[in-house]
Amino acid sequence: MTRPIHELIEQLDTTSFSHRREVVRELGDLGDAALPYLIEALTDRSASETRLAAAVEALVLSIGDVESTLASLETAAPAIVADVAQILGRRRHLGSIDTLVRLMEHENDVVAVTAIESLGRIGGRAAVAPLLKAIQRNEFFRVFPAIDVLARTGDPRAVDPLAQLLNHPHYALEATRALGRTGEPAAIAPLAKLLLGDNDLFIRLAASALEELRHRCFEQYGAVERFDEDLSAVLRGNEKLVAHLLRAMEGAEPPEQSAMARILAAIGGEEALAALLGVLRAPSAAAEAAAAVLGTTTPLPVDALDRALRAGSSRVRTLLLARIDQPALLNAVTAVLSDSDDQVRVTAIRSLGRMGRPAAAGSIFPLLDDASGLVRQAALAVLLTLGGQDLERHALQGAASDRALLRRASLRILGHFGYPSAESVLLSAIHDPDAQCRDISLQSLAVLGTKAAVAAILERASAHDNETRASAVRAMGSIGVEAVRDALWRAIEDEDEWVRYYACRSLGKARDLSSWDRVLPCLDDASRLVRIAAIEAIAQFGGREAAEILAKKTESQDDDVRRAGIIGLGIVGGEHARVAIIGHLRDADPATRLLALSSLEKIRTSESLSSVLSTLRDPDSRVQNAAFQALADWPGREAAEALRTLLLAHPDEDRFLEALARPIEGRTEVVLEALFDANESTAPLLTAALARSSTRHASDALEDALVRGSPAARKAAAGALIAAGTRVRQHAVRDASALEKDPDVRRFMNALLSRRP
Amino acid sequence: MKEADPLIYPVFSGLVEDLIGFRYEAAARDILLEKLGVAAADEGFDSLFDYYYFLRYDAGSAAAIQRLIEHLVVPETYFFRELGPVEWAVREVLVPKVQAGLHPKIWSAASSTGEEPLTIAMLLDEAGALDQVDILASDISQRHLDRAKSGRFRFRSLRDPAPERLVSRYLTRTEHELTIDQRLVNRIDWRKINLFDQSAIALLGRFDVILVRNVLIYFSHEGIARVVRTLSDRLTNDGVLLVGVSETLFKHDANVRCEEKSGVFYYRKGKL
Repeated sequence: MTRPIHELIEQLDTTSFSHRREVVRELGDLGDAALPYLIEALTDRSASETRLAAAVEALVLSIGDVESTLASLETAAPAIVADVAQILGRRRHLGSIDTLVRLMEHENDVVAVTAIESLGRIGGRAAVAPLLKAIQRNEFFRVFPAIDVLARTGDPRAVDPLAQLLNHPHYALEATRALGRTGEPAAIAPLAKLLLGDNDLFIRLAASALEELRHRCFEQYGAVERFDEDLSAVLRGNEKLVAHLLRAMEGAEPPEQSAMARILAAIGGEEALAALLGVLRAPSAAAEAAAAVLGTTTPLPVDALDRALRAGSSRVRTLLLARIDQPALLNAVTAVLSDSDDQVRVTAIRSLGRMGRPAAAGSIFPLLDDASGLVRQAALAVLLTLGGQDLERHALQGAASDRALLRRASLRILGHFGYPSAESVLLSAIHDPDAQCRDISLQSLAVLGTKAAVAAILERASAHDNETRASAVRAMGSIGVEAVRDALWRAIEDEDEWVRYYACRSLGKARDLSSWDRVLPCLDDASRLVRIAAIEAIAQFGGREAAEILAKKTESQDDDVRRAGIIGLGIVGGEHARVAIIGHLRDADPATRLLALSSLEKIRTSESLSSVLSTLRDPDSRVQNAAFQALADWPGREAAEALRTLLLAHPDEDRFLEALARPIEGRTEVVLEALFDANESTAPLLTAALARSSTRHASDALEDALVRGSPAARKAAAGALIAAGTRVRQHAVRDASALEKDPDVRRFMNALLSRRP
Repeated sequence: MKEADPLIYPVFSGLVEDLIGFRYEAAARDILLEKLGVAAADEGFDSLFDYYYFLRYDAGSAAAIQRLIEHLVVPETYFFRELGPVEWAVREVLVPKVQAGLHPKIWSAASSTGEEPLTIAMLLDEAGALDQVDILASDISQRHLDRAKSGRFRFRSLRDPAPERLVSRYLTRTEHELTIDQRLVNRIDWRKINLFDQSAIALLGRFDVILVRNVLIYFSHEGIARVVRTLSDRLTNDGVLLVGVSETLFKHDANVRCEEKSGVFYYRKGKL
């Protein structure tokens, strides 16, 4: 129950922080009714600092019409007006922009600075003109916050005035950083000019600012190719810069080194690339950055990379290989397959895989016997991708090797590709002394599916040893059920639990409804393994009866039986299954909640989506994350609207923007609709989602917003289209500018069109 | 591996947490699945679900579980890492006890490939107290312990800044690796211990100093509390527990209290 207002007001300066927080929250919830009391508390300057701070907090949180109420205080004492400015900024109400712009002109510096910072909190471009005026006045205390806020408006008109401040001794550092924060490609040129200077501090700062600019371009437009081209166009061939950058790199912080490495790559040319390769040798962040840019720079310095790979340390090789996929480097990559570091061998194998040359198979093949499991796995995966006639020859030889690891991998390859030569080798390998070889050959024979293969599998299903019988029964899951049904029915009564387990799984995989009565008793098998496999088989059979059985299993005290039931319900689907699953989104065990969520994703209804949304607040971060990923992949309007709401409520969280930008049904329409009445804060976020989507549909929506959107949306859409950099998009903005009625929007578009480097 | 099923991650992350307390957050899902893929292939499983049920329920899975653990643990440590607190523990806790005629004990829990306990051994030897202090080093990975006992290390085990006086006295660079004075290796009692195995830890006796550094970050909230409770039970009455400089036990109900001396934060048994 809420306490009387006067009682709450008296407790504003209570010494207990948690009590005070509760009082502040209650006063905020009272809305308009509490405002006169809070204003009185705010204006009573004889009160304690604690009381004043609590009054400010309550006004920030209030659900009442604080903005109108505070208007009467604009002429109060400066300390009070400064608090008013702070409250307005923290409430982030767009309607406060005019008031704050007026307060920027206040004669008192504290009021003016607070107003500027509050404008920064609200964001948006409405305050650009007064901010531009503020930085031109040369009033020290006001210029600093104005530089910061101006940069964050993302308005192209901010670039020139900020660039002019680069010559000012007091403001140059702040202006350099601010240019990076603008996200405006027009800031490239003034920042690049700083790199030519003699001051190492400014070279590092300018490099970092360019890196920030690039990052913001990616956030806003989802691509940086155009940015990289523009940067290269400004820097290319300027080899004088190389010496400056190398000097400034020494002693720089790792992020600065990384930024400078990227600039070296943008300069291009022999000298810059040689410098980058030199940087690689140092154990620093710069080396990693150098490797990253060397692997992605166009044109690729193949000769230099070849030398760097052959002569480099294991660490340098790993860094470079992660990005190499040019067939011209095949020999160099093959040469490092013998590196003593298993990470190098893994990345080299994957690099050869990306090159896609079957000729590499011969070099990779011996690594199937490597001491490192990671290397063996990478080698097998890449060989199965590459294929080729040479591979068949190697695999046939490998299958006869006296080394079990090589035989296993070779048999897998033979089975995977189903070479005509494979059958006899596999038939003989079912008697291999190595159990894994026997198992692999049986599974491979099942995939071949020839008459002889099936006969061999059936014969092995009666083998004396349990392992072989289990392998044979598992293999039956890959054969048409008609040929193996009787054998599977016999296996379901085998004495060995793994044989019974695989019999249930194979019958389930075949969805053989005639086996229902055979599998049902396995739900009460003495072995937990078999009970779980039976649950999964019942799920595969599907139907209402299956859903009811599974729903009952989800009530089990046994974690794995319960989880198998939930997984099964996801497979069965339908309303009955959904209702049973959502109960487990509140299970005490996080792993069970995660499973319930994954199963629910397979039943995509409105009700399921509501459950996913409520799981976003799960106490376990893994469950929260899984719920968010489920929402991010969920098609349709409802999910898109939920993501749009999340993005607008949390504009600083890139994951919401990234999710809304995914090319999934419903996203573009929902974003476009919001652009029709978007404001200065929301429009750039919404257009960023469209720009990052990179689909034709989203580009069309941006052009639509350019014409039919709100004024703020038209400006933001113009920014996104210009950043895309194509002539067609620039023409669209030029045409829109010619027809634009709103002078502010027109000026904005013209500024964009004229400032592109 | 056939399954890239989203259901695999929940069941295995739960299993791994039960086995060794490691918590694989969603962001580390792919890393976990890659390691599982290799481990399952080595055991001959095509299906991660089959592998999971084998580990959970097969009577003969103990060796396979240890092999899985070997795949999961990462040897990420180096000599002289966060040296300040270690120097403090040697100088302010162990050496005074030796000087008082006692025979103190120190335990480097989760010592990985051994660089931390060997750093302790260097400092004790430098102070002339190596023979009067018992050093226990433990890890869950037999592979890590074997590497530690070999006394041979990669160059990555030595990073800047490193105290030159100790480097030149105890470490030798060869063309391909670093080697350490074998005398130090031999002074350490190396043991395979799972920090979640309370009964095994209860048999270790009590320690004047326990270091469990840069490992708690891998555990869940509950896992941290459980491990710290187990370790703090092994402290002598005036014993100290040191965690990594970026780790804190404030949020965990672990029955320890934080103290500070000479800029070093450490924990003692019991609440304030």
